[in-house]
Amino acid sequence: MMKRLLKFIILFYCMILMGNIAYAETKNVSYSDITAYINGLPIPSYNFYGTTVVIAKDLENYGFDLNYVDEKRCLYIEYNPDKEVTANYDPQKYNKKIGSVAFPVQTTDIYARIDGISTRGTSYSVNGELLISMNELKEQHSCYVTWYEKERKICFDYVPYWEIYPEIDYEKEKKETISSFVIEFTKTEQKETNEFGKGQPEFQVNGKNEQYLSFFRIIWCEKTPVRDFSKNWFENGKITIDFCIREDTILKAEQLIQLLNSILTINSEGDVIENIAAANEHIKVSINGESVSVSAVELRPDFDGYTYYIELDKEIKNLDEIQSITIECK
Amino acid sequence: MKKMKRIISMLLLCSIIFLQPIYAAETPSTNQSNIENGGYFAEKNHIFYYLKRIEVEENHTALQLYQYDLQTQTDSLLCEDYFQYEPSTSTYGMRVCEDEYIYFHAIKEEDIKENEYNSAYYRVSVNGGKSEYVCKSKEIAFFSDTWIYWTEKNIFYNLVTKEIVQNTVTNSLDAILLQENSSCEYRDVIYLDAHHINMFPTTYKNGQPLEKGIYAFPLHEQNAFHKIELEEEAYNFQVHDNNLYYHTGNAIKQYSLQNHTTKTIVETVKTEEETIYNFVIYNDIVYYCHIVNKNGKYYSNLYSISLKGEQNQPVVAVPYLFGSQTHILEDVVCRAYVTRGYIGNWRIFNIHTGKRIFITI
Repeated sequence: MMKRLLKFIILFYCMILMGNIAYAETKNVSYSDITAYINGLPIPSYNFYGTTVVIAKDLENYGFDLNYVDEKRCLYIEYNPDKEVTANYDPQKYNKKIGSVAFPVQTTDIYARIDGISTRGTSYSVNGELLISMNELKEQHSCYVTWYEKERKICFDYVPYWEIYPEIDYEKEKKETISSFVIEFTKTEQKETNEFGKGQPEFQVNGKNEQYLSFFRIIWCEKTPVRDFSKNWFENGKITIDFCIREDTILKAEQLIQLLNSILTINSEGDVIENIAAANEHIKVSINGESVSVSAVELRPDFDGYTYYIELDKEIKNLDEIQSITIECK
Repeated sequence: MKKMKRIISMLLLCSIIFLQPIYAAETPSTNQSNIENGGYFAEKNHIFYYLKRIEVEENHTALQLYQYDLQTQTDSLLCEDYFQYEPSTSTYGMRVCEDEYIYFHAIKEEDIKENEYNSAYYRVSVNGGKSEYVCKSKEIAFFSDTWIYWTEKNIFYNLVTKEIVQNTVTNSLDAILLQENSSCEYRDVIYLDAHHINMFPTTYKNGQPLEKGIYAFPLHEQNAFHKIELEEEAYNFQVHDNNLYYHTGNAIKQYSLQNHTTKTIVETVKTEEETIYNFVIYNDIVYYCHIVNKNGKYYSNLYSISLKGEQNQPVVAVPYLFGSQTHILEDVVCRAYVTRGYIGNWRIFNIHTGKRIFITI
């Protein structure tokens, strides 16, 4: 009788145990023929229901900061371009059978926030470490995730860049017809903090007719294979100035438009035309008091107005090196 | 002296008689490209016609027919009647016809009955005045500025001579779908795209569907109805100077209706990134839109190439085309951005100088 009771208790305990395991849903992660890269370095990656995933902990060796806050059950992930990279993973060393199970993962109530944006869907972990989809890493500022089907690879790339958005008073009167502009930037002692909490030098702006030039900015973006024309119009790692003469000012700025159109170095068919001398005759740029030549001018009109891209023959990677910029067009 | 006068007057009369039909025949179907794309505007004799949105009173805007003289750059009201566009299509099918009337379909405000928005074709004289009701907008289609087609009776009607020709070859054609493809009329022959769209093939009177392709339909010799055997599928086409011009996506070709020979007018590289997407002929010049991808950036321009002389090269007529809706008229090209059926503001450029024309639509 006692034996029977003992058997029943053991069986009952086993049933409860099995029930608990089934509650924490287990799924399998498999090896994939796709290789994932972080800034050109391979990182261990797996296939999880058609998505390429990495283990969050591994990202620490690739320049990511990880910070787990238990009260919030949240793992904060942020790419830090200044962090030392210690990764040394070599996929050649591992003989993995594509499609075979790499390890089982369990659902977890812990979630990740990548640069302040929460990951979507159910979270999964292996030995307490969260799985992160490669695609979700693109939420980082100035970071790109690109899928190369032919090469069977998925790449995360951080693209260093800076930009100066001057505080132009666009409310200033635009009554006069204009044929030229001057805009001067002088660095102030203050530093403005951008949306990522990082300090950026602030520039004081002075000029003539600058209120006609909407969305004015000066931008530098490192030359990379990653394509983003909004940051890197000419794709060659040089400083670019762009601005838009908007619909409501086109008639007032007609003479300036004519001048700019006469010095384009790339025509409406995308062909380079010999016009650099004319461009440099009419546009004078100096950085820190030193003259910088113009190497390309292109126009892209659309329904908002005429956007001009002016490329300078200069590469300055660190914005801190710039004290002043003057741009004159006449 | 009397004899001399008679001879001169006879010569004058002959020249009028002989020159007039040639002029009429060679006058291009000025609104072909316009109509295929919804007919927002029309143009004839350097006058640009358009429906302008104006504020009638607070919270009430309406459309009125205006004309803009492209030479003097002045605009003026042509008809005081108020219209609304059709909510389902937001197009006007506008064209100026040989009977000196501007035709368009819209909803006339004074004709709006309670909960009933009847869209109809109206016409206004090029000299201005009140608008006249023509018919319901689904009933007719324009093949040219002279010949229209009336679905209900399956007849063709000449706006100038008032001649009526019964269609004895095919079943009734869908007027709405006819507007959307490049079917046209040239010298009393209808050139018909048998498949308006793949789902709606044109059928013979006996119900047999016509093979896909372009057919010549002589209105006065309907027995001569036949298929035109082109080398490739035509995306859209136009007939000019006894030739059928068609584009294949990367080329514009000329098919002689007389000799049945084919000549390439323009050929571009055949890639997915490069395409010709619209063309029209005015005054022996082919105008076409061409888009090309260079280093990941798209460049779109309106080109022109003369049909007169040999070895002509295309030149950029209007640079930097942008937007998704295009009307190429005789003197202007109009562009707008269309998203989810909503048409944004139009930008109008002079086709000869490439310069922007500022017309408040």
